[in-house]
Amino acid sequence: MKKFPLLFIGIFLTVAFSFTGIVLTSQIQYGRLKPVAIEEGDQRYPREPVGLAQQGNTVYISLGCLYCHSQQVRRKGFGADFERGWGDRQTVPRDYIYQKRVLLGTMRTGPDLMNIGQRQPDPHWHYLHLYDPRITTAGSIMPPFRFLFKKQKIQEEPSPNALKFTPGYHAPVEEGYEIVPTDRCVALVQYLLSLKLDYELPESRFTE
Amino acid sequence: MELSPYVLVMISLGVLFFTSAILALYWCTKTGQFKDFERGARSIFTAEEPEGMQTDFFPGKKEKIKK
Amino acid sequence: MISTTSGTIVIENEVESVKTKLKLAEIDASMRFPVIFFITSALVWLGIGTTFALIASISLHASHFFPNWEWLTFGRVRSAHLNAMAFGWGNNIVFAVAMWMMVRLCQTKLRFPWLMITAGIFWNIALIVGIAGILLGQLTSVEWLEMPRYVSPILGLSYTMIAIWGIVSFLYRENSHVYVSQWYILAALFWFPWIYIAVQTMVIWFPARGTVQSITNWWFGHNALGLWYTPIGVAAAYYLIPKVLGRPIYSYYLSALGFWTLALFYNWAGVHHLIGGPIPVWLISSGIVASVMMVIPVVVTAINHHLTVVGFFDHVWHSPTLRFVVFGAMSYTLASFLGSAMALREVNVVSHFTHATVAHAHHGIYAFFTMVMFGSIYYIMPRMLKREWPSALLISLHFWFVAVGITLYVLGLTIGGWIQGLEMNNSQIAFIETVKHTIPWLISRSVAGSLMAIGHICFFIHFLWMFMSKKTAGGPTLFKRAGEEVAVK
Repeated sequence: MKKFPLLFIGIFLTVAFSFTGIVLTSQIQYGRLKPVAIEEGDQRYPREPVGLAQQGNTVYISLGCLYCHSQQVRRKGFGADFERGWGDRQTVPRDYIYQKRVLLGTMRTGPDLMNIGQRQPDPHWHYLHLYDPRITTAGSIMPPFRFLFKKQKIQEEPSPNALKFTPGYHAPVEEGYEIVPTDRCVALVQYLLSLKLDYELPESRFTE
Repeated sequence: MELSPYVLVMISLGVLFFTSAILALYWCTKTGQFKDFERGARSIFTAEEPEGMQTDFFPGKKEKIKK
Repeated sequence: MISTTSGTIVIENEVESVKTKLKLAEIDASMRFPVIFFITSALVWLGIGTTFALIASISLHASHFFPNWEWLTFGRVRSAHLNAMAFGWGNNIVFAVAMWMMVRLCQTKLRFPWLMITAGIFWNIALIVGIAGILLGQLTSVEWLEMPRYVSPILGLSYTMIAIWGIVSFLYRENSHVYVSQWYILAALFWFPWIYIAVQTMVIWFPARGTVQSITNWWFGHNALGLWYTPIGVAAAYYLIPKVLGRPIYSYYLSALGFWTLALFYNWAGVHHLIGGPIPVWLISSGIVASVMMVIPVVVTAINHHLTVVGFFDHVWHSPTLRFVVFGAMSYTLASFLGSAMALREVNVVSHFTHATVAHAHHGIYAFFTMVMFGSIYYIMPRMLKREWPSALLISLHFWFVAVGITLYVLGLTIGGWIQGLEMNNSQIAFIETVKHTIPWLISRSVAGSLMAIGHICFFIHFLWMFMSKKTAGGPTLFKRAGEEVAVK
C-alpha cells in the first residue's frame, strides 16, 4: 500500500469496473432503442413530441418541475401507482427514447406526471392550477406560478384562454381586465397535455 | 431468472477483476508491502506531538483534563 | 526497529528530532494562504447555501411568504442550494482539508501553491456564474448537475488541476509511510474528475438515449457522495481522531480492508436511486447488492473510529475538533446502515420518492461529512493563524445548534417521509391528504434548518473574530507550553 502504481491501478480499476458495468453495458444493451409497433404496420410508439409541446418541455426544465414531480410508473404490486390511476402499465426504457433530457424524477412531493395528459385533459384546469394550485386542489403546497401569467385589458371579448376563477375566489383583477397565460405557459400546458401513457409496447402491456 | 448476455459479460469481467485483485494482494504480501504494516498507524506522530499527547483543547481549558 | 511502546518511538525520533521539530510549523506555514483561501471560500458558500436552504424549505409550507418572483421558485432555489452546498461549501472545504492532510502526511512543504489557488479562483468564479444561471432558469434539471453546461468545462479543468496537484505532491513525499488518509485522498482526487467528465459527456453534452442518462446520472450522483465527500470525511476522521487523542488507530490492517471494500462496493450502489424505475432489473439488483455490501467497509471504519475512542470520551468532549469529528463518525455509521436498509426493495417501495430520501441525504452530507469538516476547521485554523480560537462559548453554541438542528432534521423528515410513503402506497387515501400530512414535518425541517443557520452564524462570527484577535506565541502545537504534556495513559 506504499507503492503509488499499485494504489493507482486499484483506484482506477474500481471505478472503471463500475463505469463499464453500469454505464457502458446499459448503453450497449439498450442505448439504441427505436420506436416499435405492437402489430406489423400499426403506429409505432412512443410518439415523437413536436411543436409547442417540445417548447413546453424546455419551460418544464427551466422551472425545475422535476424536483417535486416524477415521470415513471412502477409495476403493479410495487407501490400504488396503478391504483392511483397514474398509469395503466409500467413504464419501460423505450418510453423515454424521445426525451432529450430524461425527466424521471426522484421525488413525489406532487403526483407523478407520466400520464397527466389523460388524467387532466382540460387546459383550463392546468391554467388555473398553475396560477394558484389551491384553486383546483385545496390544501396543495405547490407554490403559485403567477409569473407565468399576465394581466391585460379585455378587448371586445375575453380571450379564450383567460382564467375563469371560481366564484368566491378573491379575483385578483378589476373590472375590464383579465388574466391570461403567457406564451411560455401555453407551451408548458401543451407539454403537460402531451404526457399520455395511452399506448402499449410489446414489453409493457396494459395491466388489468 | 433469465440471464441476459450482458449479465454474463459482467460476471466474466467481475471474475477477471477479482482474480487480478487476489493476484495483486498476493504480490503485495510477497514483496513485503504488508510488513510492519501497523507501523503506518504511528506515522502520524512526531517528536513534537508524540504518541500519548492530546493535541486539541477548548481555548483556555487545557488544565481541566483529568485522567 | 520499532517496538510498540511509546518509549522506543521517542528514542527513535530523537535522532531526527531537530530536523522534524521545525517541520510541523514549517509545513503548516507553507500552506497558510491556500488553506485559508479555501476555508474562507467554503464558509462563504456555506452561508449562501444556508440562505437558499431556508428559502426552499419555507417555500414548501408557506409559499405565500415570498413574493412571486420567478428566480425564487422552488425548483430553482432548491437546485441553487444543492449546488452551492455541494460544490461551494463541499468542494472548497475538501480542497482545504485534503490539501492540509496530504501535505502534512507527506512531511514536506506545500508545493505549487499557485496551481491550487488558480484552480480555486476559477472554481469559485464558475460557481457564481453557474448558480446565477440556475436562478435565471438555465438549470439543466439533472440532479447534482444543475449548473448550465457552459460552466462545466471550467469546473472540470479546475478539478483536474487540483487532482494533478495532489498526485504530484504525493510523489514528492519525504515520508516512506503512506497513511490511510492518503489512500483515501488520492483516490478521491482521482475518481472525481473522471466521474464528473464522464457524466457531463454522456448526459449533458452528448446525451445518451433514454434512461441510459438516468443510470449515468445516478452512477455519478451517488459516487459524488461515495467517492468524493465520504473518502475525505473518512480520511479526516482517520487522521484527527488518533492525532488529537494521541493514540494510534485501532487496527491498521482493517483500514486497508475498509478502503478497498469501499472502493469496490460504493461504485455500484448508485443505481439504488432508480429502484422500480424503467431500467434493467439486473442492474437494479446489482445496485441493491452493492448497497448492502457497503455494510462491510462501514463496519470496518466504525470499528476503527469508535474503538480508538472507547474509554476516552471525556477527552473527546474536551476537544472542539473531536466533538464534531466523532459526532460525524458516528453519523457515518448510522446513515450508512440506514442507507443500506433503504436500498432493500421492501423498504424502498415505501421510502422512494418521499422526504425520507432527503433526510437520508442530509444525514450523510451534513451529520457526517459537514460535521467532520467543522471539526477539521477547528483543528486547522489555529495552526494556520498561530492563534487560539477566542471563545469557548461560541464553539459550544455552534456545536449544540447544529447538532440539535440536524438531529431534528433527520428525525422529522424520516418519520414524515415514512408516513408519506405508507400513505402514498394506500390508494384509499387521496393524494392531497398524504400531502397535507407531510406539512408538520416540513415545518419541523424549517425549524431544524433555522437552528442550523444560527449555528453557522455563530461559526462565521467566531471565524472572523479569530482573524482579528491577537497572536499567541508558540510552535505548531499551539496549546503546548514548555514541559507541559497531558499523558493519555
